[in-house]
Amino acid sequence: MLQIASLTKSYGEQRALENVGFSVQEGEVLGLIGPNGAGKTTLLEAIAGLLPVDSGEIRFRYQLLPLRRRREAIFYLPDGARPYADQTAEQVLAFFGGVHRRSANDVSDIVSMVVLRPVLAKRINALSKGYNRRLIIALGFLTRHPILLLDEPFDGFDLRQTRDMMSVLRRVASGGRTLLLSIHQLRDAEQVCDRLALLADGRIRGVGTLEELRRQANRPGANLEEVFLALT
Amino acid sequence: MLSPETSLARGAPVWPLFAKELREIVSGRALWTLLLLSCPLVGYSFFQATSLYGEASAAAANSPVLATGLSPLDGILVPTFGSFYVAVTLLFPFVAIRALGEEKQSGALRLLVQLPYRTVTLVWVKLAAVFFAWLLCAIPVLSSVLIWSMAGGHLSPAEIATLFLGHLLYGLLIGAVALFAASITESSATAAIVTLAFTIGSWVLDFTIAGRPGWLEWFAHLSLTQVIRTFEQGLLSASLVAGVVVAVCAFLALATVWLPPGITVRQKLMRSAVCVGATAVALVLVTQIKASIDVTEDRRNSFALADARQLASLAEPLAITVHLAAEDPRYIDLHRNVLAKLERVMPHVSIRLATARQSFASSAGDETYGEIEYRYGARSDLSRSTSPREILPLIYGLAGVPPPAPIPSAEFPGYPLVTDSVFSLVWFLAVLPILIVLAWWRSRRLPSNNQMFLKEVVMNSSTKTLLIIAVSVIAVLLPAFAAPIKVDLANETAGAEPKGLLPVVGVWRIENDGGKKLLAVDGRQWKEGQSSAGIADKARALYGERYAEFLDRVQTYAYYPYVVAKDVEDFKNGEITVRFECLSGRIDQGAGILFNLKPNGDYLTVRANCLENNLVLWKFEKGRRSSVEWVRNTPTATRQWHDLRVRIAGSKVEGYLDGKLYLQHALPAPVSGKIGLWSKADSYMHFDDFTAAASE
Repeated sequence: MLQIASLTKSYGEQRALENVGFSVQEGEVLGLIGPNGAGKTTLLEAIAGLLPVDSGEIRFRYQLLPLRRRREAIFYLPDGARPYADQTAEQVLAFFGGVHRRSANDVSDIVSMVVLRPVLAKRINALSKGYNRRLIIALGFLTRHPILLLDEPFDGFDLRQTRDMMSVLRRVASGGRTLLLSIHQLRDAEQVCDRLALLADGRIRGVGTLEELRRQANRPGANLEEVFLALT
Repeated sequence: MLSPETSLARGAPVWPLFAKELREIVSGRALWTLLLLSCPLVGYSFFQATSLYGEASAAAANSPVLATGLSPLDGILVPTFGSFYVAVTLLFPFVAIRALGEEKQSGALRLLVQLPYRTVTLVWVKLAAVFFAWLLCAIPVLSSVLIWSMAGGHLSPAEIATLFLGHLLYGLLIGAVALFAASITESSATAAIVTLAFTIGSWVLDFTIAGRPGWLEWFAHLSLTQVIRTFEQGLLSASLVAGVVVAVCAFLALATVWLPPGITVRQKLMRSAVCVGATAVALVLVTQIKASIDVTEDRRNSFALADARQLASLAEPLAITVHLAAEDPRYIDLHRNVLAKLERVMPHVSIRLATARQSFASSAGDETYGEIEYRYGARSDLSRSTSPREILPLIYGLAGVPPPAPIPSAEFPGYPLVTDSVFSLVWFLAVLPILIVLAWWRSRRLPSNNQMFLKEVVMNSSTKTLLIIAVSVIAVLLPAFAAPIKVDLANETAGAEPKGLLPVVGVWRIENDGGKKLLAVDGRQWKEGQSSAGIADKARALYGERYAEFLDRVQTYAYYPYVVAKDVEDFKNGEITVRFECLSGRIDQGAGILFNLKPNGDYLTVRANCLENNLVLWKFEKGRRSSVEWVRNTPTATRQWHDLRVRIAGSKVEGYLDGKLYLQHALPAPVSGKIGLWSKADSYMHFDDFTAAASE
């Protein structure tokens, strides 16, 4: 579905991404795992075409996806965005729904799915961090892109809310959409992702299912945290 | 719903994007603050302008010469729009920046650029929203135009439209600069500083280096404020309009280059260089456009008609070398009175400042300083005059052509008006601010949970509110810009009856007077009881099957020639104006505006009389004529052109002669009916510029 190859990005002398490459299958949930500063957000923005890179290529269904066509297949949901602070959640949802020609029923279903209905009449600047996160995710669902990149989708949720959102993401993936999640909570990643890509210091240290990574780290029975520490 | 679609090539609708941009601008405080601050600013300027204009008008009441200097464009519109210009210069950048700056700061831009729109679409839609915001900001100044009109002030649609266009282009330019600034900076505050550097920097250019010699003068022409000056002078210059459009497009192109986040700075700089290069070429090309229209009623930007025609026929190049410093007041006079007009009318004129690097102060010892050399073909001559009265004969002499015979044309009468402007203060200091605050409150009101939700994805409640505001604004302002119906005689046939007016009584025909077509009523062959040819058919054309009753009354009133305007079905409120000249008439020399013409043939008329020097409101009812209001001592000289104006507001009628209000009367019932022109008995009169401007 999506192949990333030899992606490199530097900020001056500092290498933020170095020769990053992996692929994602259709309908898969791939977790991008790494500590703060590992380059997860840089990588997602580079894939989405929002950050210029030094080298590397991205293919969609085996076809090269140049920068100008990136947004035809990929939609990136940034962490920390609080769009249109003076507008209500309903207005922002209606905007995205209108742009993507979603029916009122579609929008209403997505609102129910991410549990946004209680705050629809609130302005964005009055939303809690968790509800703002739900709104951003809902905006992603309103698009029609086959690949969604979500930066820290569970940030701001408590344990129960995280579990609920995981099941929502699984439902979306089972509908055929491909999800690439940047997650720093390893326990969350272990639960929601089909496969994992471990990123540290801008380099991919391992890609695969937890079992495959255990084998790669030579740590049978270890949890993701132990595997991550072993590989990075 | 949750499944992906791989084909995303189909375009996204623009309306949700535009609605979002509108909401974003309206939901910010900057727009409302600007509107509120504009009220006292514009209001005080308008109050001052009307007060000063009133004082000048009072002084000109008994002097037609003084009255000719009274133009609402200079006296009212330019000063009032000037205060709007100050507000736009200082505050509008904050409104425009919001269209992009907020998205950059909130992270929404990263979502926006991924939507299925081209970047250029995003930028143009933002400019469209900025344009809408500018229209809202213009409400105070447009309301001043409406107040002036309601007070009986004269308005020239062409002058207003030109001035409005100038300010609109200036507003769009500020908006484009603001969008560009927001695209290259990370915060709205920095973008505001960049934009204000453009706008206030233009003031600095104006104040410090304008009029200085050499490259400083060229640099001063880059000032944004220069955009408005030409429009304020009533000159619609194709070159200037195209230049501003190019500049707006250039800033938008640069914003388009700098907006997408996925491109390297080096690539953006290269694309910007291409944009700047293309803009420079386009600007050089537009400077070659010479077409311009002098829209002023007093033709201040043009020579007299005969001179203009004669100069336009001079085929050889005219080279003018001016030995004056650019900041010398004599050069400024020369440029305004002669050079600018020559450039407009002659096909080949080149003007060179011989003292381009010389300042006014440093030229004291130069004996040639002050000379202006005119070279036409192989002949040349010198002059120190700055007056066209001396310079034009000099040019004719060089060209070997005689000075042209003057072409008779209507002189600008001036439009004096003494009006009480206290109402305007109430409007600008109380009523309008309250309306703005209410609209602000309405825009900020949150929908209740049971009022919603998402029944209409595309058009939600806020969008509807915006539309209501927009429609209301247009509805309020439309009367001010409702095009008056003017009977155009240019396409009429000399010697024939007018096509736009229906002669009912008397002999009415088009006459050619020195190349200008005028409407004449010729009573020299008058015989009592003479209706116009084919009157039965004309009566049927006016009132259909009810024509018989009308015809009976026409026969009764056949002592009084009149024509009826075909294009005005029912005139209730507004102004009817006409210019007239009394040519001859032993019994009468009457010129009137007819109104309230009923299907039964009854009507009212306000008429002036060159033999009697009075202004009278006559009533023609049930076969009898009777005076309703009679005003004596209204100077109306024979063989001079005069302005007659009737202003109707419901049942209230006002009669003006040569801009002065003489007659006021309240009728028992509101006016309603057709309108036309009126005369009497053996009057031989000329009419021109018959105009009806209806208002709500």
